[in-house]
Amino acid sequence: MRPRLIAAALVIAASLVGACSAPVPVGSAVSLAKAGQDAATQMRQSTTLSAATYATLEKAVAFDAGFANDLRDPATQDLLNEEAQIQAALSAYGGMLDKLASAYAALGALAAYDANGNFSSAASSLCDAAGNLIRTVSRRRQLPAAICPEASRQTGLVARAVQGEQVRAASDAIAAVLQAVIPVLADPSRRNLIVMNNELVQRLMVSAAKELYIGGAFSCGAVIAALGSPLNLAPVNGVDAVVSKHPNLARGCLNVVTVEAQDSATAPGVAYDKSIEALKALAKQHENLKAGIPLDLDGVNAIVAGLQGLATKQQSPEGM
Amino acid sequence: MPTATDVIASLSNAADAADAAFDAAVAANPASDFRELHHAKMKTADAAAAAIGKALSNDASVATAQQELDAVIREINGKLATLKDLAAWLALLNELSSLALQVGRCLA
Repeated sequence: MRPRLIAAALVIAASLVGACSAPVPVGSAVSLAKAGQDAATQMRQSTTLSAATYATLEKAVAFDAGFANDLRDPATQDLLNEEAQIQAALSAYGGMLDKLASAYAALGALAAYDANGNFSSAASSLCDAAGNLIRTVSRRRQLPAAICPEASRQTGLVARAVQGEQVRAASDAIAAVLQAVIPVLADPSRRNLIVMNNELVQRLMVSAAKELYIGGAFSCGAVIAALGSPLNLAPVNGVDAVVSKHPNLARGCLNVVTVEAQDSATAPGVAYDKSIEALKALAKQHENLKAGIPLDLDGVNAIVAGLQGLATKQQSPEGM
Repeated sequence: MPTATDVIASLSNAADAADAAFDAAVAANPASDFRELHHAKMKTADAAAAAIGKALSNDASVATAQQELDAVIREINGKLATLKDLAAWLALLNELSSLALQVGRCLA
């Protein structure tokens, strides 16, 4: 028995030495967690409509129907019903991405102030939500059997290890799920359906804004101010009265609005692809953290900053 | 034989073209009655949303319907800058929404 016990002890010791061989950059893990939270949140916004955006869509199509004096048209309500059904069908995506953001927040807390209690429940919820997403997307495709046990095993290590190893184990648990869900999110046919729907919604919301602009409810002042800024020129008072008297100026303003509307309508596809890129970049950083390689957080942060810029561009007229 | 994704892409383009046509008509004739144009635009958008919401298989009639739809989309996009007459817009949009519904039914 003794040689077997010694051999077993050596195996355990060797695995611990291997696991502890590279220093864990706990400070970088805080930044990684922040980037992960931002990327998961943006991926969610690129996939499903928020309640606020759906409410804005309702207002936009209601305005549109009123503008066209087409209030009794059932097609408007049919469209909203279709959108509600699409959002229900996408709820598994939203649920998983919310849990991913929560798991990253818990990783951040773990790295910043050793809060290991939060991570266990966050990792468990993430694993359940990832399994639900993969089952929803394809009945034939199951969450790989090793993912949840691996995530659980790493989560178990979180409770027992010192902080540096806790962070490494928590990162590995997230990485295991990330590797399973990225192919689902990046699947081209699903991606196209989600993006086409978001573009449809974006166009309907932008259409209402354009009608308001054409009707004179919005000023061209901001456009003119932006055009004058390279020469330090500011719009005159009552600039819209000037524009209304000059058809060329009015056409110029309308064309800028039209181009902006076109850019806005293509933003969902760009945002979706950038979000996938961010998740892939995060997966790479989890590998680096595991291997003790310094994290390239500048690259991840640049992607996240780009995502935030897109989110601003994609923002709907919430105050409408 | 187009895939379901190809067909849905055509429907999405149809909704885009209908939306652009509606906006162009509004810009050219701000004070007109846009009820029928709006109806055609929303029907087309509805057909696209309905198709997106389904997990669907192909139908042999989809290919022809899709080609006709794509031709109307090209015609609309080609005339966006020049067409001012509301009646002409309406005829085009009605044809577009009718074809979009036809293609959408192929997916049902």
